[in-house]
Amino acid sequence: MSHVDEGTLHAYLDGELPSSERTVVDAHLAQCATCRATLAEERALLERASALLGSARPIERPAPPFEQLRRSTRSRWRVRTPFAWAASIMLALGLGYYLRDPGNDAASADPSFDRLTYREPVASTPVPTSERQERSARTRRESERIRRPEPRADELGRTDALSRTDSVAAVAPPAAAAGALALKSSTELRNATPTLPRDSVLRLEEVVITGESQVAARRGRGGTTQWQIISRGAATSLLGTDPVGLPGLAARRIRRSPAPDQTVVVEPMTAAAAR
Amino acid sequence: MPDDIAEVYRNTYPALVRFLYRKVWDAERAEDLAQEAFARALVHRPENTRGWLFVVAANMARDEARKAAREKRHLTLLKSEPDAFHTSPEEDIDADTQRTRVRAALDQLTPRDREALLLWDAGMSYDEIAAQTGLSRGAIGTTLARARRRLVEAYDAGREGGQHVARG
Repeated sequence: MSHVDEGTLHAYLDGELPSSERTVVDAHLAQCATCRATLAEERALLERASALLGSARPIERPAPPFEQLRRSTRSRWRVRTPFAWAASIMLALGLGYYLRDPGNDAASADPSFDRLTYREPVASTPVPTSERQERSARTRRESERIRRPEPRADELGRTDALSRTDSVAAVAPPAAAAGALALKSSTELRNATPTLPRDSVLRLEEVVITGESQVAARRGRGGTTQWQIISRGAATSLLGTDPVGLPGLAARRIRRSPAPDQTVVVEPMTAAAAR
Repeated sequence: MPDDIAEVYRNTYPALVRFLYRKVWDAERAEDLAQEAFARALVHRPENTRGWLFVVAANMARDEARKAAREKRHLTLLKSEPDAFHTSPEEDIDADTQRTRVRAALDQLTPRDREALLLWDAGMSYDEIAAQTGLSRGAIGTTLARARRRLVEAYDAGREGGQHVARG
């Protein structure tokens, strides 16, 4: 056979030559000094090249745990959470206004209503607007469970929702915000059900009812940061009337604001929670 | 199957980081991209995870290089930052110089030769390299021989050229 070409020699050295070819090359090398010399040169070249590459490698650090990697695929959703909340709150304000006056025509449900004319804080209902948002909320809960025993992020969101409600309460006339429940009555709310956009109700995350006075709102919320779970009876005595969740959705639990006000959050059963 | 990906992760992660590092020349960025590639694999569940990872990694590195070209000034600044993982300043200089020279030498290779060489160095077989690059399996040996020769020659020429290493 003729001399072995360098490509074959590299495959030979790399151990990538099929065994049949390898046998032929071995036989040739045994009787060809030229090719043995070439082989030695190519081996030196190969070793030199891999040494050069080896000198330009990163400092090897251990791979992060696989589980962390899986979590990091979720972390991208976490970034968007504040935006999801902002969107939810805007929708919630719109829905709350809609619920406030069931007699209104469809135009009043427009979330871009004039906030200056909005006098009565009613029900703030953060409504995840899409699959992604619902997922992000779930993701947040899951990762919270992993990291901290307390459902802090949920509370953060709730505080956020609350502060928005506060800002609405601040423009409300004293009569409307003087500690009485802002919702007119549960009966009226129930009457409003047929006019609710069906999708919104199905995707409801929670209902925020604020009955705080302006004074309480300004006093801020120092001290505890826990939104304590309270019984329906306690919520009733706190509000002076029954707490109202969204019609058609059973309340999962009721929490009380850590601030010295009468803010109560009714968390309804959601599809995610039911699972 | 996620278990398979976990297995591939353990076996392939360092090689993928190394492969990416020779493309982006930033250890942390290489790690980020490698993790991103695995994260995508978790979503896509490809048939051949290993091969898929290197294709995705190569694409990400290419996008990265385009972005880097747009932000060339910024990149130059980053490069001049000392490597945080080293302890001795003298070693820093040596290692940095060495890396810069190898990088310049690799830049002299044709993209196909370079790709084959980096894939081989990342532990891929000739079959895998062939599948990845579109070369026939029989051509891999020749391609690697040429790539290795050019790398060594370019490196030696660069070292003799001293200051002109980075001209490519």
